[in-house]
Amino acid sequence: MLKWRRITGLILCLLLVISLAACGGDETEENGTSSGGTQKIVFCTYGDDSELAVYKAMVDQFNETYGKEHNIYVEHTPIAITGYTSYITSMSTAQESYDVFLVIEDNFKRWVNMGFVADMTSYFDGVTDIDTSDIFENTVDRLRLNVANNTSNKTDPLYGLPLDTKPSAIYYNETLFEKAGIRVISVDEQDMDAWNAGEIPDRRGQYKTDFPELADITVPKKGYYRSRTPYVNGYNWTLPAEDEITVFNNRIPMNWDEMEDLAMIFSVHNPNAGKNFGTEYGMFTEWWFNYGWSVGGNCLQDLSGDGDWNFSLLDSTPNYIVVSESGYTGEWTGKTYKKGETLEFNDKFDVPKGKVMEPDEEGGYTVDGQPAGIRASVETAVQSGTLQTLPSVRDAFTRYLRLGASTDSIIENMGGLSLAPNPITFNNRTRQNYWFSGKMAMLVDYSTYIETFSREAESNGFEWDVAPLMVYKEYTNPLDPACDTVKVVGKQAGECNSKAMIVRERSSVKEAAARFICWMASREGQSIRAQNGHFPNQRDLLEKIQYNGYAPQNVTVFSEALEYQGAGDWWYLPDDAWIQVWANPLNSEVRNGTLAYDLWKKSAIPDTNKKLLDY
Amino acid sequence: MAVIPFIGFLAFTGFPMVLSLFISFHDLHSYDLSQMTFVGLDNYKNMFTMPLFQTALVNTLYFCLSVPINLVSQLFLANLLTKPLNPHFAKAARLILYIPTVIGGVAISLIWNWILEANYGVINTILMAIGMEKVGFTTTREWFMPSVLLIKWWSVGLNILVFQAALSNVNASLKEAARIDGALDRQVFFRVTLPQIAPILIYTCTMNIIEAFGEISTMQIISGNGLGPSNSAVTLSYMMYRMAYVNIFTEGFGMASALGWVIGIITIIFVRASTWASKKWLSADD
Repeated sequence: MLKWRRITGLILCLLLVISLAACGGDETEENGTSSGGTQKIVFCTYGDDSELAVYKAMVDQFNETYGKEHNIYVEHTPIAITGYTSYITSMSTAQESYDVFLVIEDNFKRWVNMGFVADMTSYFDGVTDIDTSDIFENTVDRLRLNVANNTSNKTDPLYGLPLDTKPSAIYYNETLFEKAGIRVISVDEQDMDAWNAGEIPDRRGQYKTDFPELADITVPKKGYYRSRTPYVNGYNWTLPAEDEITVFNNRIPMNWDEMEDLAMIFSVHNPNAGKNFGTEYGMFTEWWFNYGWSVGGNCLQDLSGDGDWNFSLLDSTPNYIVVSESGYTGEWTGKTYKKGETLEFNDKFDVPKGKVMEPDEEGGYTVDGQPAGIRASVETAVQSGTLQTLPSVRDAFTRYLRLGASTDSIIENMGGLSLAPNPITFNNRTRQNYWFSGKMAMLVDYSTYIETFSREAESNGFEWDVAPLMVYKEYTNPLDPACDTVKVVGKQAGECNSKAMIVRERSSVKEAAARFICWMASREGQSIRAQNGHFPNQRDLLEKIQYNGYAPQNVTVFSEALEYQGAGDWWYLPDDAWIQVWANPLNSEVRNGTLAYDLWKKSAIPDTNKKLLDY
Repeated sequence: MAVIPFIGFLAFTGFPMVLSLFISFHDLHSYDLSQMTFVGLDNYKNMFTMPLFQTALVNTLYFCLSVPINLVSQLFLANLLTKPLNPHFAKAARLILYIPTVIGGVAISLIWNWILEANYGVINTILMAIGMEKVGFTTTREWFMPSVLLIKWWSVGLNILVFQAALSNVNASLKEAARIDGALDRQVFFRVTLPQIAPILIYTCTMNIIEAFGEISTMQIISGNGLGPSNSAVTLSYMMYRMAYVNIFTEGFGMASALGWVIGIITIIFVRASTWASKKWLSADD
């Protein structure tokens, strides 16, 4: 009996040793290469059923074609969404593990800084038989990183290539618009004269004569038009009269006034909104980027060009946009700006070369103890018509905040608008649920929801479509409803999410992985995405997306957005600890009305700047 | 043969503990231990000066209130269920009280999230129907933690079963003798029953305190964004997780390990204090 116990004990000890040994790895094993000489790549993914099906189809196609020709075999390994990040990080340093994996922008710099992502620049350069030149550049550049100074310039190391893109746009409930008597047209700005003249139909095949009530008016080139009493600068909104003409054009971006004017109809400002339309709010947008970036502002600036990060969301100085064809050269950066670009931070402020501005606690800046002013050369360029003045990023940000703030709250001496639900509303009901339940007329969201929204809209019995994001735009006479002459216009801007493929540093098949990634990002791989209704990253495939009947009529809004939309602020630095400092109280308390904006501002600026010293 | 569990302990508990203590004195922002740099007590110092640490400590201690609240109410219910009741009622009561334990914390939290939701939750819908103002149960700082305590209260089933088992094992002749001596029901419970089940009570209390200091899931589900209104969902354990996996560049594994040890020490202090207080209380009754 004792002998058997000893034997059992020895076996258990042996099992323990084996299991511990398995935690390590065999340094001598040729990882990734099978006996037949075929290199095996483990491709780790996550996603919903539809995304996983597309990844599998792409991998299968690769294995049957390019992979077979080059002796590369890819094993597709889906991981549950909830455990993906912890799986990737915990297995990152194992000898035997995955090779290629997916990364979203939030994690990209964090993972590169953790040291387990391979610099693939030379490997990608070595792949000469696959063309990846038609990928949207801004989705590639966000995968570059110089770890030492946190730059993502074109010459910085490239870690991966984008697998997909998720541009954003306004989803709107067209049935609600119709109930409110708003005519919906779909005419590009450059076609408006011809459409008004009855020469051409709009993108839906509607001629102007199809709208008899528009016979006596020329519909201006505006995203939203009302024939009387337009709403200007956030003041004096009135409900459109019964005989007032209202037109929504889903091809022209609304300016801030137009968007608010339209949203008011479906909000508390209209006492009959609930009874007539069943709505509670006019719109919702989760992100301030569209507002801030449209005027050329941002929440993070490098004051020295050497990593002196500063929280700049509350900078109250104006921004400047180049309107001259000849462009403008910045004094501090030396950068030549093209028409339509906005000046960078250090080019607008009067900072002598070699000096660095000091931020104060109010959102302002000083140089040598004196408040930093605007460069004389910038002022001159404004006078000569080379530059035009845009609002400050603080103005843009507060205009955004007012959308969701309650009417009794004060933000920068102006009242809230209660046009959008507070973030708390979405604790249980996601913003998507809220929109397709019909309680909200417009929602800013990603292209990924096209299929879901189509299905939900059908079951909820309403029509919908998409429109471009808002843009900062002033008319020469905003009080004249018919005036569509633009005095100054900001940039079209917005946030576009993207998922990318990167390689584990310890992978022994980096060369094969580079070939696989290039193929997946190329026209060959992306065609499969397009055929399955997913946005490709290749320009020339955008027109070929097969939506299986789910596409909104104006779906090109998304593909147009890819040209100008960028990565969100969660991508700026290696982690988002600096964002939590100001964004958490902002989203949980200020936007929910339990903390005054002024109190938030007082602590957000110094606290965030203090946290930024850690980077 | 006794060496096998010892090897297991060393490999899976002892070594990681020593390693985490070692890491807590270093700056480490990746899984590559060769990148560690020695920083002495800096991680501890920096952590204590973080405003979020104080918030997380207060939140954790606030959450620990669930331990006495739950123990007292669970003991009360268990005692009630040991009384001669209608057997059908006793079975139904046990079932109702035990179901939340079987369902699991995440599902319970999701259900409660639906009940307490700020705009369309069951309670707020009722409040509005009777003309009252909505209450931001999970969206305001004032109501967040009381809501969490209410949710945690419903995971009472397991303790009730344990207490019931302990109460049914109390020597009936002792209680009978006390009653003959003229003791009231209350006196019998506090002077006879409670000392008899004291070991179970102390064990349950200890386990509940340890569990409370490790709490993450309920608050994460209820808060939605993981942080809650004014960071009221951030407990010490969740802060440790964020240091290691979310804010790894600015905080990292070194600071997370330091916080892990601080949590461990605070937990030990609380467990020792509660054990000491329980024993003191019981000996005072003798």
